[in-house]
Amino acid sequence: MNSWPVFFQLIRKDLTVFRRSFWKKFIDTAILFITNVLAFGYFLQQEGAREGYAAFFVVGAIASFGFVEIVGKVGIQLADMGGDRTIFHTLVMPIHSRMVFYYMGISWAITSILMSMLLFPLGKFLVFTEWNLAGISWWRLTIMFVTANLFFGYFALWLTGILKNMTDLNQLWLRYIAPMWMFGGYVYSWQSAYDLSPVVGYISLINPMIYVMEGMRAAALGQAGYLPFWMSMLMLWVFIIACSLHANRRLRQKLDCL
Amino acid sequence: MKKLFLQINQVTKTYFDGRRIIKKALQGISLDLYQGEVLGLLGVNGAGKTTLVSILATLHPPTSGEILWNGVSIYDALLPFRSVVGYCPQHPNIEKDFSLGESLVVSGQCYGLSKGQAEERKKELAKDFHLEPYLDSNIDQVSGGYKQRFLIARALMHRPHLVILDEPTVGLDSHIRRELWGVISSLRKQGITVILTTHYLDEAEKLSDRICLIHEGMVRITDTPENLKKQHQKNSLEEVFLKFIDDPNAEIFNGGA
Repeated sequence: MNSWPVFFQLIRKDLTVFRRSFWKKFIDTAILFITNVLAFGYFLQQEGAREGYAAFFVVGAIASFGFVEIVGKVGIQLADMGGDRTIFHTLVMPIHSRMVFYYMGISWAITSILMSMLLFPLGKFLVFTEWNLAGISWWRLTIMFVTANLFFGYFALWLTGILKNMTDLNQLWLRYIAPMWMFGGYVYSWQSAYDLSPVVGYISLINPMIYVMEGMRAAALGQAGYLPFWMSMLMLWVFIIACSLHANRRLRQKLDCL
Repeated sequence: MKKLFLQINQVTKTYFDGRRIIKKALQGISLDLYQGEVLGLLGVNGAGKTTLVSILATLHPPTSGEILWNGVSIYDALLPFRSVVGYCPQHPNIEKDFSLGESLVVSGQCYGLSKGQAEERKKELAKDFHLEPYLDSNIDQVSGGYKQRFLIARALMHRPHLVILDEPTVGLDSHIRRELWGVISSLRKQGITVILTTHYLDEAEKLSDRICLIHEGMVRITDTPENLKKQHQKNSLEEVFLKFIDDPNAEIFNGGA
């Protein structure tokens, strides 16, 4: 007897819930995405941003959608842990608790992938001529996209483990998400940070978001001007493993489960 | 002769805040549980009843001690053991994203039932628990009594061998309580082992084959309701319980398990 049948059933259950609220969520996501792309991709060019900046920005916006969504996911989970505790029903099922936590991370990654996948055609439509699809390495983009979303899933899990309760959720955006996002290359490349100051560039390397942005842009816009693709990939896996292991430990302590 | 189902040996549970001990919830609980019996777990608030049943449901680990299932530690056979346990918690931990009917099916599937089997089982249980009109309702749309019925039905979806009911009738009106008594009696008839924690002593007396009284994390009395009444020369279990509460350290209560 192993945990896998329950693991897959739980993922299936989450996908059913996701399917039901898909369009509502997609409309919210599309509004955020379109607003950002129009403001940064078009109006910023009027302020003197370089040519091709719109495509540069679109790829970063697609990459970071799952990251912004983390706040909601962590919030729902913290509310559950402090309230109804439906997770306790899952924790008495024939599945090891570590597998419950791994399922949560993967499930969050899958829903994030399914949602942000649709941003690719939308992004292309918005910056039509500026983004040359011939420059995309599709297989690199696919594995980086999956890896980035796995990182978001396990990062959310880690935050769920380290934040004590819903009150701490107020700090989540200000202390974690906003700085990591804004200093993670959302509107600039790592090379720009390095050119500004090598110290800033090197400090940026401790932020996992920089690898998400650089990896996605290297795959979607070409390697020139970005951190090496495989280095970004390797670093993201280091963060995924670290987040998942530490989250597992913290959640087992927090929920006092086997 | 009754078959031993579960052996609880010297189980302790201590809650810590860092290294500081907050509470010793269980202090060396030893108890045998036989197949097909209904064990009533009694005790005042904070006695350790819920802590014990949550450990037996494998939700929380004990600090020390062992629990043997058919001679094997439940932690060495965790998944097989979990697959034969049905746990009805004190607080309704029910997903709001699904209707009650869908929740039953999803829960059954997680315990290895096929979709068809889970649908069939859902219909059976919905009939037994009068949940049929509410299968399409969300948990927020039903009363406390139906939430409780749903929780018990969910615990029974996978036909468990051990059912743990943590205060299943709390807050229910007497009519629904009596209906649930019928359900618990029918579980016993089916040979299912039941652990029932309750504050209603009439309920414990009527339903339990044996009573286990826990006080300050220790088992103080384990016996049949009839023997307890006879031994203490009382007419009801409630009177025995009140006598104990009045003087838990009296010589007569020091027999232990």
